[in-house]
Amino acid sequence: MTLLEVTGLTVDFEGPRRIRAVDQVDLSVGPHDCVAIVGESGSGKSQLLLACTGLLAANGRAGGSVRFDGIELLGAREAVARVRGRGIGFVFQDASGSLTPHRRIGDQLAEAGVAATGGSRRAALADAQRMLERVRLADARQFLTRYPHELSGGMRQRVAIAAALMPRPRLLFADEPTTALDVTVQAEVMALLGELCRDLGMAMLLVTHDLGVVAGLADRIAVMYAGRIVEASAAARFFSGPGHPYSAGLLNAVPTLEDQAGAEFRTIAGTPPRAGTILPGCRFEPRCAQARERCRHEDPPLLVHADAALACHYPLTRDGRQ
Amino acid sequence: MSELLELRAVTVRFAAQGRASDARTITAVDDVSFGLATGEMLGLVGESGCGKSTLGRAILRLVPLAAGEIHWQGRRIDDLDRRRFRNLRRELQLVFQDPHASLDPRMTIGESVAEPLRALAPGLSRSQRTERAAALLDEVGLAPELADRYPHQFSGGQLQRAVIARALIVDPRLVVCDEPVSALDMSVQGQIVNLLARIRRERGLASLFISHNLAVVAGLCERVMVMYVGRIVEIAARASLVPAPLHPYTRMLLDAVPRLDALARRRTATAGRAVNYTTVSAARGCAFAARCPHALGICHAERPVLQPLGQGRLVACHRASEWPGGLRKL
Amino acid sequence: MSAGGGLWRDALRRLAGNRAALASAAVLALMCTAAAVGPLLLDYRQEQIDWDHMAVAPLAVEGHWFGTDRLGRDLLVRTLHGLRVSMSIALLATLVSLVLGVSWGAVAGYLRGRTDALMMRVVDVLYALPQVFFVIILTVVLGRSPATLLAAISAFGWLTMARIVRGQALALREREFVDAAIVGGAGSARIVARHIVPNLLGPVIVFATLTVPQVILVESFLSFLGIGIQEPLASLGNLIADGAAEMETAPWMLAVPAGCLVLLVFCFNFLGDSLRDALDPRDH
Repeated sequence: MTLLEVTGLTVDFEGPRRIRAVDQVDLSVGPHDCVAIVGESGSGKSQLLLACTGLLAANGRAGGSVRFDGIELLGAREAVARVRGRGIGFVFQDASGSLTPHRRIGDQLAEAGVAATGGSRRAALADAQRMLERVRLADARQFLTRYPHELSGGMRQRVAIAAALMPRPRLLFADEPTTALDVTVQAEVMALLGELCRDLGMAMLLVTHDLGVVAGLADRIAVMYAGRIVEASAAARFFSGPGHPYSAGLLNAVPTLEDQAGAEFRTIAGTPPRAGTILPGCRFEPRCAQARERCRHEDPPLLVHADAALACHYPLTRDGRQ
Repeated sequence: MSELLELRAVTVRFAAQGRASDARTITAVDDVSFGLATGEMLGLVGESGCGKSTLGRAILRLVPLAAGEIHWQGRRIDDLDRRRFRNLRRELQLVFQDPHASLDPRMTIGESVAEPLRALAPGLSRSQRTERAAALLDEVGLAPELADRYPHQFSGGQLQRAVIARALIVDPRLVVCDEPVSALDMSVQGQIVNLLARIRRERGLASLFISHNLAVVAGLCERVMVMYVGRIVEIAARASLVPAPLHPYTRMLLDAVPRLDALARRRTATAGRAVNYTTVSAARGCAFAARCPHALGICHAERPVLQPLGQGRLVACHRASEWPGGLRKL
Repeated sequence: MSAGGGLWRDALRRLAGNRAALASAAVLALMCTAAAVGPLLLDYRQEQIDWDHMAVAPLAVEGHWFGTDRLGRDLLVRTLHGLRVSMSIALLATLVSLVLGVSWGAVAGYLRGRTDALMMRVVDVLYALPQVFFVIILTVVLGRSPATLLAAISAFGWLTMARIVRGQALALREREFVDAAIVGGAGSARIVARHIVPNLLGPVIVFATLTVPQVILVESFLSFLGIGIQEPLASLGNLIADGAAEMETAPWMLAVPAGCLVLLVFCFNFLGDSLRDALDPRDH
């Protein structure tokens, strides 16, 4: 029984040229899953998230199906409105996406709580304080009367998370939640998110460009490239040996301290294609070190077996060879 | 001294924004001193707001100094008049963080790359400038035919190559790289870092590499400086900094770098509670004391000074001598 | 000056897709052409008096399509001449305000500090002067002529442009490519000319398009008051003044020039608005 079922999702943008940002994506998130979608610019990952929550730009068109708890969300404005702030929570990259600068934090949190679950304001304020403690803000009470700009970026993001959680959503969408934060704070906030998911029995769909950040947090990883999912599998399996050359390249590209000093940094040649570029064969082929003739002409379909999905003609084996 | 660039007690202050009633100044760079030798790749690492970018900009005179001196090849340059400093710009260049912002959207790539030559190499004719620009584009791995295109037609990685070309076209001796790869995709960052390393080797350039990513800095630079809230807290060779850091903040930064073996293991939430450190820059004692697991009374009362601890290492910590073998991972 | 290639082309394309904007542009082009060559093609001169047909209604007499005025002068020809005068003054005054306003504002915004404060104080003081009185004084001193009127209008027209440009320049100053130019050794003059001005042309062009109708209205108002263009020269303003006096007996004398003015102002405003939308896309 899945909480979120995405089938054949496409997102197109109208303009001088029609651009397809998301191309036939299938995804499912169970009630206690933490799924991370990893991709770079042009991968369509952000548009995927925005389409699911009805936040696409005015000239974006979403096709396919997005079902939350069996209810179709695409094209059904009231369904989305009901679900937003109740069943679904959203954390943005920049906390200012969720926090109004001219209102006190306590008021904002309480409002989020009352709007979703009814009840008195006083009860909501008490709940807000508890939630602030939950997100590990020391001396939570003082934060109720503060304004967002009085806090540092990391603290603001914690408050934004608290706000998103006030209505006790069953699914949390997070769009690059730690990208704008300092490295020393990123790990803390990611760990916090993981903990909250477990404690509150919440599912999470996280979108990020940073593989290093989702390690130790996600149950499943899906990698997107040029609008498509190219690989999806359980996290443990993914980190010990991804099947798609792009995933392997991404994993390699994360610089670590074990690297030999002075050695070349690992990278993938070329640049990610701009949204809407159409190629006859595999979209990753121009950058793939293992590409062969077939890859240039034939677009590999996403094959699903067991719990993993892979779109590659010549996938890597566990020890990195083909 | 054989130092190419030397900073002595450099301080940069800004008027704080906010309500008119708090006329506060923020000390973005606080009493910073260090030297950079010819051909050396020196890393400067720290998080947002620590002042590292401001420091880089101060060296290029994009912001004024509130105190201190900057010396270039033994001569003082921070008090030069505008015209004399402009002549110096030939030797000192800067690679900016966001290529979409640092290139004029209304100029072609070729024009942007050639622009510094107009003021800094006035003897060249227009066709000579175009030729030089084409040569530089080639050196950074961009096809010279792309010179007539506009920035919005390129990806971030390609644009950053153009930015590097622009910085190199006047043949500088020192290039300050301010977070040159932070705005780029992960899979592309390595390309640009490798490019910078190669160019530096081939041209014998000195470089100040500023970044918040310690893994990149450690892989690229022989010597590393760590900065926190405007102050330098540790300076050491990479070979000693990474295995045996002496400052608790350095330890924290090292711990935040993802490790291959830990990637598969589930992380547990750290016990630390978030502390309000927005007012730390005015703190009397050590700026890091509020977050430091090893802080003592003296740390909150007295500001530690950068002390040499043998083998070229410098640390600003009252307790650093207590762990000569470096701090272990928390 | 090489403009941002694709950026202008995109804007033009967007504009071309806006049918109402195209219609306005077409109407304006038609009016300009008519004002320029119309009087040459028609039979009557603007001062020519048709003794037999004074104050006749439009189409009542062959040859006088828009009728004649009190003195028997063909209204169509006079209106076209008036259009010519009004448009010329408007375009010239806008050009002056563009050149003066952009340079003043760009320099003030870029240099900031005391220079900026001083330059903008000058603008503030001039802004505070009542324009009409100033025009009257200038007219008394220099005598009535289109040139005086042009000088008077230009003296004030550039002020708002300067303020707008200064605001834009202040913002542009903070952009990183300006820092890059400084690091590349560029002097202030080059930075203002090559980096600041080209990047604020968008709002400037839009504002200029909206300034033209404003100037036409000011000129018309002044001519209506009797301070601007004088007989026997025609401007939309003094034609309207004459027409207003004869409103009850010969309404076409008011309707024709007034209708022309309204159409002109509307088209410029509409075009300016559409230009603003075209240059400022919400989607990237």
